[in-house]
Amino acid sequence: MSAGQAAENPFIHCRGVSKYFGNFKALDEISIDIEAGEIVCIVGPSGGGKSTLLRVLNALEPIDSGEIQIDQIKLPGSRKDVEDIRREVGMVFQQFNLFEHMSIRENVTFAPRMSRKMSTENANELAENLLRRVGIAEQIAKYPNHLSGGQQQRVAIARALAMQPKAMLFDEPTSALDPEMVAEVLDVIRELAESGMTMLIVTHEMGFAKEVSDRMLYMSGGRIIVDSETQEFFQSVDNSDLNQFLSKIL
Amino acid sequence: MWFPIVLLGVIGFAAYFLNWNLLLSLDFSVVWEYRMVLLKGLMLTLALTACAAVLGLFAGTVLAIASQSGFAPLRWIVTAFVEIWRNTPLLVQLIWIHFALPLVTGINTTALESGVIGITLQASAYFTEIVRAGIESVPKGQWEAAYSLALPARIRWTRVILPPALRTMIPPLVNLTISFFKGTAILSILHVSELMTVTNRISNVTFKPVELFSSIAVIYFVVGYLMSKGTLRVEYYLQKRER
Ligand SMILES: Nc1ncnc2c1ncn2[C@@H]1O[C@H](COP(=O)(O)OP(=O)(O)O)[C@@H](O)[C@H]1O
Ligand SMILES: [Mg+2]
Repeated sequence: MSAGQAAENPFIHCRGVSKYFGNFKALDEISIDIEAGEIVCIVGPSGGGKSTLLRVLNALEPIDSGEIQIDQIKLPGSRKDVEDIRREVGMVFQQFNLFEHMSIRENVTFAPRMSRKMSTENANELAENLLRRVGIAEQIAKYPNHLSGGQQQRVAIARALAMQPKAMLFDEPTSALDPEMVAEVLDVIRELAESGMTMLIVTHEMGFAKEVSDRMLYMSGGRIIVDSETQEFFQSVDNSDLNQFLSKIL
Repeated sequence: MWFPIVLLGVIGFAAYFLNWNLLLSLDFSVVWEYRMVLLKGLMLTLALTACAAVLGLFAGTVLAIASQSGFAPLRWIVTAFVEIWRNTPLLVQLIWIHFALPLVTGINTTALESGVIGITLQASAYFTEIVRAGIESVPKGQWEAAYSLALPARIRWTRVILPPALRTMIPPLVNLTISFFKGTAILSILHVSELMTVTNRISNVTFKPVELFSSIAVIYFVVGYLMSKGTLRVEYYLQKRER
């Protein structure tokens, strides 16, 4: 799906979305459509609004104008809409944000049990499968602070997947990690990409972005400056801001 | 080198001025004689402390959660309640509750009821502040995780935010409980029959105030000390379990 081209029924649809913090405009008239199964990486300078964009898509921040639609659910919306969106869209944070007072098993089973009313038995089975998938099945009885950063982030991914979301948002999932742990987390995200999950990934790992994404967004000053197919993005987009950004980061 | 000498000098000086006759005339047998009465008083003191701690913590938690509400008037009410009960003497509050409130409401409360109400209300005001600080010490990321997983509000509070908040609150909660344990002595103004009241009564019939009040000071100290040591062990245990 190429840039700007309006899809028939995009999975994620944003039209003219703006977000203010006080007088500061963190998102400035954002419009994008993302197809089911599409993998979109977002890059750009710090403070450009990348996190804010993901956060409004997860209804963690209310928007001030415009409209968001995810899988037929609209924002701004009722409290139920907000919860439905959060159930459909999983989020992975830079700082993992695991529940420190719960074991790894509880971290992963908690949300399906509490917010999807899944039985403990089913939730346990799901957790075991997911933890095996992210490669930390043997840590299931431990607490988060027994685990390395890379392991914690993989648990956080499993926790989000346990809600069986239709899309996943990643906000700089490897930025808080020691360099030697980046690969193990990217491997998990890559595997997820291959499984066909719709994903939005904010990252500074350009090699990874180039490899997994179908499409790249360059954000700066609360705006999407460049929205283009991945190959094009790295080869032929002629935007002085972007070229400067890429030359610095690559 | 000279420090022990100075110390000895001070002790000797003090000993010279001490009224040895008075000290030697002290008769602590009165404490043993009235041990059952004193024990009953201590039990009531402990029950009042437990009331203040349990009801106060419960009410304080509810108020602290209300103080996080997006609805401003609710926050103002909580702040007003907390500030009024924290910044007026417990003695005055007890007099309001026991003597003024019945005039306004027409409901008479016994001394014990007034005492329980007074100490619980004041405890809730103090506990609100502690719980609020505990809630605010929980990292923002825990909230975000709870929201992004669509956890219902009740679950978010009881299972995600309050457990780590309570953990950080254990030392201030213990200190506060100990100060309410000592604070129950003020309820003797209403003759509630806790340890201070009964000691007063015994003293009035036996004329042995020094022996009696010194002894209950030791009792207050020992119980307070055990409370602080005991609860800090619980905290240590909880911490160890998760490391
Ligand atoms: N809760 C907030 N309150 C005030 N300003 C905020 C808040 N969150 C983000 N901002 C501001 O919005 C801008 C965009 O932030 P963010 O989306 O985090 O950028 P990025 O993730 O691209 O680095 C920044 O200038 C940041 O300071
Ligand atoms: Mg960010």
